[in-house]
Amino acid sequence: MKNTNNLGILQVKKKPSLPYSEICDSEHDDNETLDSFFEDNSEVLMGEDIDIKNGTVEKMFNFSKTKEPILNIDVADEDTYKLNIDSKQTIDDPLCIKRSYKLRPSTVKMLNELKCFVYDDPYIKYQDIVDTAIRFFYDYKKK
Amino acid sequence: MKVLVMEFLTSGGTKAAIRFSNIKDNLDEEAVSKAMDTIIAKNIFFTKGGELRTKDSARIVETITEDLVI
Repeated sequence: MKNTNNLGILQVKKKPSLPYSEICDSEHDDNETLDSFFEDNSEVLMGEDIDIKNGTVEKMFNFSKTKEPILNIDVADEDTYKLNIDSKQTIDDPLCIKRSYKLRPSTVKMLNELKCFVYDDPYIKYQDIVDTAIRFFYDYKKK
Repeated sequence: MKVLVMEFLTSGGTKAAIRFSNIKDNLDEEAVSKAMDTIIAKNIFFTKGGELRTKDSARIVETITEDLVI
């Protein structure tokens, strides 16, 4: 009997999770670079010499509760309004339906360009851009 | 000694931190938030992940150092 595990399904093997120290030892040899990073991979810009490894957290403030998309586009661009993502609408009407489509490689390249260079923001996701693009195209065709 | 650690998200999606020692005892969330907003607005730091873009978190860490007399 044939093994059906490989029929059109790409199986991704998960790498075992390692402690930070082991990952760093295997991926970086430069100790100077390692010293400027926390355990959670934060780059330390100032106060690198202050040792807090054995300290206890007295207070913790979390400012990233709302992952509201923030636009970072050139407002001088005439076409800016076409690319506008309404962040309130994104939150009220969440992107919760999964769909899978095939795209041309050049289209994927365009999407990557939009993500990296037009919306240069960690909170703007591919799904936000695709959703906005479809809505823009829909409005355009309905005119 | 109390240390204030501010963590920001950069334009590249990475985290960047700034540590301050000798901070006041009565620091609250609002004061820390305002200070972080000012740092972002002034845009004076450049990180490996690009510019500081948004606030992620902040924490006050207390470290105890005991001097040994030898």
